[in-house]
Amino acid sequence: MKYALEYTPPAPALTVELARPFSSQSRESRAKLDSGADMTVLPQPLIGELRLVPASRIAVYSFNEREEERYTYFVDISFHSFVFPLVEVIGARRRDVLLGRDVLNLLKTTLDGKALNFELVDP
Amino acid sequence: MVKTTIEVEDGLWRRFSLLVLQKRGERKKNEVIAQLLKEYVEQEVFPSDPQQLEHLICIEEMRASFLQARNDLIRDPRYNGKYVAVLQGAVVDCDEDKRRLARRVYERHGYIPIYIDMVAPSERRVEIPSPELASR
Repeated sequence: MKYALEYTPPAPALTVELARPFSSQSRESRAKLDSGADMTVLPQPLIGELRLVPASRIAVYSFNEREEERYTYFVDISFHSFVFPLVEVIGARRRDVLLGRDVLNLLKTTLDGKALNFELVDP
Repeated sequence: MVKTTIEVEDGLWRRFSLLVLQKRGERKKNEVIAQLLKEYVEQEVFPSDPQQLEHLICIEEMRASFLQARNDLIRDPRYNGKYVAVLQGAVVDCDEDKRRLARRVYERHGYIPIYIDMVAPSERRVEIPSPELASR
């Protein structure tokens, strides 16, 4: 897969499908791979559109150690041939999904930044 | 509409009253306070949909039950270090794997607000540390 050039610098990104659990209701969104993120992040409007039900509240720390409280939600995430049911995510004011290590650690991720290619496989 | 009463430091209230009088005219303090409240809520990532708000209130109630019972849960080897699901003030299930737990409780009780958290002395914290360049 090619890096997405809409990011500066280019970033490994792909289109993912997000679905309300136990339902066929779903939305597509761009998702950037973020191996620094402990947890996957969804654009807040998608949480409303999919009518996700909150499950918890956690403290989230940003790069400058700023702390914010966020509600968590379980959502089904799929892309290519991979399906990850009931992934716990948080919402944020952003346009794309951040695919965190909670999902990335279920796969083998290879980044070739020099050639702007990346690969996700489940060996 | 809701009516409420708040306590504010005397000097702060006088300065606020004078400022509002100068900038907005007489009898505008309530309007300014309502506007400040609105701006405070809107700058946060917070839903406005009534059902979503109802769900968040449910989760907060169940979270309060969880926090109240947390020390007892920590002392109980059945729950310590595991994820628990709290519904209507009671622990209804537990598991080491939160996704497996979520599947089980949603299948059993329906896809409704059920509080899920880890039994541990401190609250869960996650890092989303990557700074991003602002788009041009």
